Amino acid sequence: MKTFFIKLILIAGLAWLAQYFTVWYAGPLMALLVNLFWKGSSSQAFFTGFFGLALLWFGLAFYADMSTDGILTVKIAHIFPLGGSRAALIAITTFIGSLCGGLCGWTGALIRGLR
Amino acid sequence: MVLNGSALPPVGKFLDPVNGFWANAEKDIPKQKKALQSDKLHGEVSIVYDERWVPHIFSTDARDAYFAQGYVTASNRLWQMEFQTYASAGRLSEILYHSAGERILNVDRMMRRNGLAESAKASLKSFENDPEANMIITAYTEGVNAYIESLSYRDYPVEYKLLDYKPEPWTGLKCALLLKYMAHMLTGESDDIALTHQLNAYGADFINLFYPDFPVDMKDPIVPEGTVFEKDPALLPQADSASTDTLNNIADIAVTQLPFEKFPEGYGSNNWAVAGSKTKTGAPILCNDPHLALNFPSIWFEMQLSTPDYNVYGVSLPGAPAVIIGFNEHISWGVTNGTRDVKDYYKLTFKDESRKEYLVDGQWEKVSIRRDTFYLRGESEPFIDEVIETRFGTVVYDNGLTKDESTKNLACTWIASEPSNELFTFVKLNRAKNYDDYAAALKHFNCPAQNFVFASKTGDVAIWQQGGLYAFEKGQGRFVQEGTSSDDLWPLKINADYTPHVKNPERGFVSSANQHPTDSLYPYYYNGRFEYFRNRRLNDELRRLTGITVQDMMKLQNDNYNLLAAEALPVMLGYIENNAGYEKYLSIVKDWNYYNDAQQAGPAVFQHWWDSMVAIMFDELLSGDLEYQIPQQYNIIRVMKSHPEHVIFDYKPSANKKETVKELVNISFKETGKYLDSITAAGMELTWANYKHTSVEHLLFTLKPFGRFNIQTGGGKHILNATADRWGPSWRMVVSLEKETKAYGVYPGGQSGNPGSKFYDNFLDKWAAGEYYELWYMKSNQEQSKPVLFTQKLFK
Repeated sequence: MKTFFIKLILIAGLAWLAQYFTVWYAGPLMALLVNLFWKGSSSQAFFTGFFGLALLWFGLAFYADMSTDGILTVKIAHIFPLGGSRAALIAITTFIGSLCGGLCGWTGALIRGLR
Repeated sequence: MVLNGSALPPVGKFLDPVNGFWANAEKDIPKQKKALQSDKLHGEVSIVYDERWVPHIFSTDARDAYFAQGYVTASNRLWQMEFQTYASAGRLSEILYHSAGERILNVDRMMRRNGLAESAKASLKSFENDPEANMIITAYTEGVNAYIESLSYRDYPVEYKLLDYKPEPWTGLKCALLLKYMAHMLTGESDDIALTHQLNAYGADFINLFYPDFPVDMKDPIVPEGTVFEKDPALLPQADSASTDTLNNIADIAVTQLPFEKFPEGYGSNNWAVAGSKTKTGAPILCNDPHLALNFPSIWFEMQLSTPDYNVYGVSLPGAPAVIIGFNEHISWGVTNGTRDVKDYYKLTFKDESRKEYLVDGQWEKVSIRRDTFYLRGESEPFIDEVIETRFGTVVYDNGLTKDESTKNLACTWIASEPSNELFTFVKLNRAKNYDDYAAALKHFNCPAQNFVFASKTGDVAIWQQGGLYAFEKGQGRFVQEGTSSDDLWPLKINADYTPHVKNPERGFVSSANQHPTDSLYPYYYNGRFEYFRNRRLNDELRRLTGITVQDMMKLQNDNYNLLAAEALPVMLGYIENNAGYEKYLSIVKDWNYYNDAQQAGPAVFQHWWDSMVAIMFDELLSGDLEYQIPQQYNIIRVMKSHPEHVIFDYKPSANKKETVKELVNISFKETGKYLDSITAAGMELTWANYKHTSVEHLLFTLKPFGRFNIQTGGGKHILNATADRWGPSWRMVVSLEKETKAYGVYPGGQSGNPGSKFYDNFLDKWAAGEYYELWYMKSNQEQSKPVLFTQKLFK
């Protein structure tokens, strides 16, 4: 369990750095790399990626929304037809990030298994 | 997938909370770099952002000031300034074709056919040939590019992320394009085609009755009535030979309605200056409120530009150097649109269907063909448009732009398509010290013809209508002409010394509100759709007022008196007889004081009644297939009184009955009652603001959530407070030229172009309430009399 959380936090941290300095998909790719080099089951690989990215994407989106009082979130949540729901936009953001993170993490474990 | 008419942005990239749209939400102040180094600079520039996020730029020379203006403007308005140049250049398809398709391609084709891109290229050449203009354009461009180069995807304005494209390098051409875009907005409309149809269908008497060149009871042109005008000596022989009757040369055309949106009628601007003899302080006061489309990001960007040589404050157009409307230590100036018809059509005679040769003075002359290339987003092949160019202008409406075959012979000559250097006028006004500097600055101005109002600390007030004005013969350019004789090409321009102007008139004020520049004694012919309500109201008030204060002037800019209603309603009420079921609306409108205040019901009843009445009066025009032009309101009111049984008032649907004004007034009143019952039954409180529904929309109309709707304001078309549904005062400014200048201003938006910033729309409510900010005219960057939010340094 401890490994799971360390791995998850590591993925979140590396993903943040990777996204900050490069592009958005470099974040989920960190889940792939961590699980490529750090042994674990394929379900652990999936969920560390999933929750690692969920933590990062939810955290940042939630903070961006709260600290600005939703000034932009509400507008974007009307453009994407979400009825102006800030929560829905944060949820979709989190889901996209975590899905990519999960699939990448799993892929990392699969590639490791090929060797 | 399509979202409200736009293509869906790439989801992961857009939603990425590090780099995607989340990064555009701003907590406090807009994200800015503390400092920027550039070897393009000569010295250090200090930029002080005040509490309204107005940048005050302090530099050691002019070049650095324009660099900083470019940098600062791009920092706050990059997407808007670039998007407008795409529009002007006819390149929107490069951004929007994948979602908007043929519709946007046609908009682009029309822009290119109007020749804006070509004339911007020619204008740029004239900038480059002048060392000073070249310096200004180059410095501004380098400033914009210094900002663009500092960006990564994370920093892009949110519109780039939504539409998934990126900014391209700025160029001097884009500055020229931006100025042409203004010319397009202000002179793009022409009613020549419509009036030609009506002349051909109803005859010259109809035109003279409903569309006279000058109001029958002419009052309050810009240059006071009775002024004696000098003639331009260079033009005397031609102007006197007014014997050529151009009315003999009208083309027989039938153009079905053109596929492009018309500009809403009744927009314009006010400006005036009162001399010290009429003010409380004894110093002149200058006021200006240009009426333009109400959009986000705002059309204006407020700033101060200060160098050791001059110190100017006002509003600028994002994408163009210099301050466009404002003041400095010595003078203040403002603009309104000249509203002249400067776009004319000619019907060409081609030799055959191939349209390779056309007739001029009895000879066949070869056309030239311009090939325009349009890159289409999402398509691998560009679209190529072949455009026919002739001495009479460009053939604009052919090759599938309309389904209407009859337009393929129509060539358009438009003054905006001439190369020009309007920028110089503003650069020189920014530094002007007195009347002579002002008069010299105006000489550079070609299009759109503007009424430049002026006041100085030395006590002068003046107004000058300037722009390339041609010495037309009587009637020339009013209708579509046969384009077969070189005699009918546009004549010479009037030397700027002889365009309409007035300095220090006895009455103690100068003013303009898009009305006729002169009375009919002016020696050169012109035509246009000129205002005839705001100007009379404005001058009545200015004549009446004495001991004027800035508060009086603010009140006047927000004046809601509806002179149109005051003149029309008594006529309408005089005809009303049967109002069964709708007595309540009749009593509302009878009790109304003619002020279009936000919470009154009277203006809503009147407006709907008037509009319905006009629609059935001119049902012949409205229900036909051809382009039409409804007469101006003051002419309608006059004819209602003088010719109540005119044949145009006969209502077509009742074929065997002949209606007069009386029946139309009553039919339309019932219609109004029915309509107002239905909207109030649906839950709308009947107030003028609710009925008018003023809104400020994002430049991309599909992005509704970036706009603000149903703003509670009074005013309206033909009212000094010209706040209509989508148009209105885009900048209200009052400048008192006392020893220490006192200036006030407000505009319907905010300094930031970012919908994720509180500075995006923070002026809007104050503007809607008719309130002003005191403008902080700083003497040096060390001044601390008001709060500073942020200071930025640019250095070598």
